[in-house]
Amino acid sequence: MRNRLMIWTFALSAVLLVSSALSPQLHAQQETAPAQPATTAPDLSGLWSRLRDAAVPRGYEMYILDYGKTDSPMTPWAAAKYKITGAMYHGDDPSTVLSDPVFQCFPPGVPRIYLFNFPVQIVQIPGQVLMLFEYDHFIRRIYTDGRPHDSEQGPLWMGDSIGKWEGDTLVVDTTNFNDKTFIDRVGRPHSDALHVVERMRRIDQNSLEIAFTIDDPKAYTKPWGAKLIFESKPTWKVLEQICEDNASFIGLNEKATQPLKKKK
Amino acid sequence: MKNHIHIIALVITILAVVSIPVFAHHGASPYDTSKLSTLKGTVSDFQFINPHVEISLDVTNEKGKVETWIGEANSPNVLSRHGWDRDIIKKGDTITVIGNQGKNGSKTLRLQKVILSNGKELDPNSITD
Repeated sequence: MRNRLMIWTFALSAVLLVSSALSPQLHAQQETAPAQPATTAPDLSGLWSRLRDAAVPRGYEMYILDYGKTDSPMTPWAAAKYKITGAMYHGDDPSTVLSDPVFQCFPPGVPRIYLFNFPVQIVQIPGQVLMLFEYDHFIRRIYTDGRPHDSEQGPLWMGDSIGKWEGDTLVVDTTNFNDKTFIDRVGRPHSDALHVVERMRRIDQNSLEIAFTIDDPKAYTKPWGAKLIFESKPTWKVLEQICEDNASFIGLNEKATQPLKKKK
Repeated sequence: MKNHIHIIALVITILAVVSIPVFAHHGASPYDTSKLSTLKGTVSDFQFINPHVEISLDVTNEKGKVETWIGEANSPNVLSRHGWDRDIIKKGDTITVIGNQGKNGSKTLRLQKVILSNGKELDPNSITD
């Protein structure tokens, strides 16, 4: 009887000893493991088509011209420029519209690239969010790896973009623009001090919101912006869109005097 | 003194006339958006390509003469996402088109509506959400 007791005591002690030796390791494992399951990184990926702002009247031109009723308080410098550039699209002046650089297929700048009636594919890879635009196959690379703005290039047509996640929102900061683009297609100007901040977030599975702010003290007395809503189009694919096709097509008024070319 | 005034007035008038922009057909819109024209005819060509889908239409005018009109629509990228494809209109089809004529009076239209022979209506702009 005493022997059995001793054996049981010994066995119990051994078990307790071993488990107490093991437990620090178990504790250690629990301490290095995450306290809760890792949260899924926000995902903006998909093929997105911009919805027309309800405030913008129906009609082909107004859909692509600007962002709806947005207040854009101009400095005297910008107002003087706008008097000329705005007239391109509002009047019957026939000679200035082609001086808009997009008609020679120069890049449209940011945020104007969102105004074209073609979708954008967003792809997320480590350290970058890529925006692949159907419009003239432009690519915006938004670096999310913590790097600062590029100090080696520029000024740039499409600016230099870095982004960081704030919860479910990608906050994109773009600077280093040249002054050769317009904010929109009603001729709103900007300077090379333009600084664009975009807040991109997926509202729900099928909707993306991009809220942009124009910050350009030389051109606007205070920051202004608009919200753009995009709808997911999973059945679409990115099609070919070559800007030079438009650049060589300057209106049927000229074509009408030439035979229709067979392009097939 | 009077002669000088006359000469100055003449010079000013000449300068005013000469300064009118010459490139009249590069307007902000080459089409007269204030009114719509309706034409019925036979399709002689249908180009479902960028930058603009184009329909060539043979139309018999009041004098019995056949004239070819060219109607311009949106990009096939947009139209193919709103029910159009390269076979939706074929050579020989009889269709009705409604659009804005070119400001220079040419036989060109910016199309606003296309009606097929079976009555189906197509939207050549297709700017819908």
